[in-house]
Amino acid sequence: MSGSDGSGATRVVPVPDDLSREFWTAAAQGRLVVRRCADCGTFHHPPRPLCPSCRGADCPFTEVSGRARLHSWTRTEHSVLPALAVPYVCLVVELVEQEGLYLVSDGIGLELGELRQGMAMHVVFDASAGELTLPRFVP
Amino acid sequence: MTWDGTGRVAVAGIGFSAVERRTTTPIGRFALDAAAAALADCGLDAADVDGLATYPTAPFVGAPNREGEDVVGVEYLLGTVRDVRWYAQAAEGMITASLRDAVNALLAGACRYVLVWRAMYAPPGTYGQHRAGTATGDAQFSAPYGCVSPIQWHALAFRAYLERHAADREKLAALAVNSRANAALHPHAVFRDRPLTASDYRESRTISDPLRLHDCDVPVTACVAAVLTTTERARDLRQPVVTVASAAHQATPRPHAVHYTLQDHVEAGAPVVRHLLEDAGLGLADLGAAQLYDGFAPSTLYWLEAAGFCGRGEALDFLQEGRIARDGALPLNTFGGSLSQGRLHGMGHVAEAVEQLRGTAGDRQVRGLADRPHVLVLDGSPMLRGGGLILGSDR
Repeated sequence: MSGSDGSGATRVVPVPDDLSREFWTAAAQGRLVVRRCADCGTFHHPPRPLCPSCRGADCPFTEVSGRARLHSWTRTEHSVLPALAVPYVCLVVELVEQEGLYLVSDGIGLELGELRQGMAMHVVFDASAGELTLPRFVP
Repeated sequence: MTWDGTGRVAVAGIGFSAVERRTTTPIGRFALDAAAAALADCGLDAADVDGLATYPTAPFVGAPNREGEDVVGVEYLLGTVRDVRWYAQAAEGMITASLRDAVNALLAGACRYVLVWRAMYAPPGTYGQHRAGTATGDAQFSAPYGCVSPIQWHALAFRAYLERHAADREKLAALAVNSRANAALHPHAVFRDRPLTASDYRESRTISDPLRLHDCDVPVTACVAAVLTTTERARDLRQPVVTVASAAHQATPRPHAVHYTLQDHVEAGAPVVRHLLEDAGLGLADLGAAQLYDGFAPSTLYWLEAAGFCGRGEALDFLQEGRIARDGALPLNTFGGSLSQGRLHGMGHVAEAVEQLRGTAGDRQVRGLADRPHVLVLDGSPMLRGGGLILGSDR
């Protein structure tokens, strides 16, 4: 069930659904896409059937630059996920396209001392975790 | 504008079960014990109860939520009460949602005596570990990165807080130390015999940076119950009457994100406290004590700022210099909080407000309540659709 990547991490595998499938399909092609409302122009993530800002129904997945700023991070030292060895770092990044447009990533390989809020991050596509390609963010 | 319900409903009885860290006794037994204690406290018996309300949810990812196993919902207690006229089971909002439901039912005349309880279960093994190999729904965007637990979501929000305000996380020690000192004076506190110093706090292990062991509440199996009725009826019962001055619920739309954000916490909390004060016709200076939810310690900081006891980014400084001690400017979590009494999910906070306003808190009694006889209770973190109450003395 869980996939394993080159760092030795065992990952929980995402299960795409009708609303999310295009996100994962695009990731497998090396593209980061986020739903954007055709009416008000607001991006949102995670995907919803209606735009959370204006309730518009037409929110096509739209390719974004993959550039982001680091918003927050935590280094987990107490195991909350038996499959994944502690310690490891989780990140929240804010995409440059819109204030408050956050994605979660891991920061495997990063040290706490090198992390600063606002530092530039960019997306990479990690195909080593099994069936699905995971977008991850790195400095 | 004040609310016309102010002072018309009372918390007439409160009762604790045993509070245990590990137990093989079924959780239903704890609920029955707490209910019996709350009824005995005010001199009623089960036949008098005609209303039931609880928020039963087991608060960890993957909990079975099975009646009598890890939750005690309305269904479980229906069989013990003869003639129920009204009940409500809250799906979210913590136990203050159920207390508010009970207040409104009593004001509407739907029933006469409402039993409200919160039963909590500490499962064997490591609490709340994520065991599934796959993730569906919104979790598909966080779990693959190892981000699966509420403590990580809280840690992410608190890291953002520390960065935004250039704040010193070491100052958070003051909350855990104050709570432990208060717990030493509470007969039901699970850590009453375990003193905690600031250096113990500093040396404790990190759970998910920047949060350490003593920033997390302690899982317990226990139940706390309360009996609510109209103030008029409560005056004929056994205890000094403690009334509900106001009750409010968090109802701000959350920012749309896959994790908690600071906006969820601080911005969404502010209207709750504004509604509580407006409805009660009070200001912050009228509050003699505050019992603020501390499932994870930063929640207390966010509530302090949301309430306006201090400015944004100032809560860590507010905790210092004895300000939150029992004889300080704002006595805070005078029973030990969830951090040291145990994870009772807000019901310990409510019970303490009642005891303080009755004047029966013994060595914990806050002297200043004689002049400022109202206590603020804020439950949950605002992003969990938390809520609150202001309780007052019937004088």
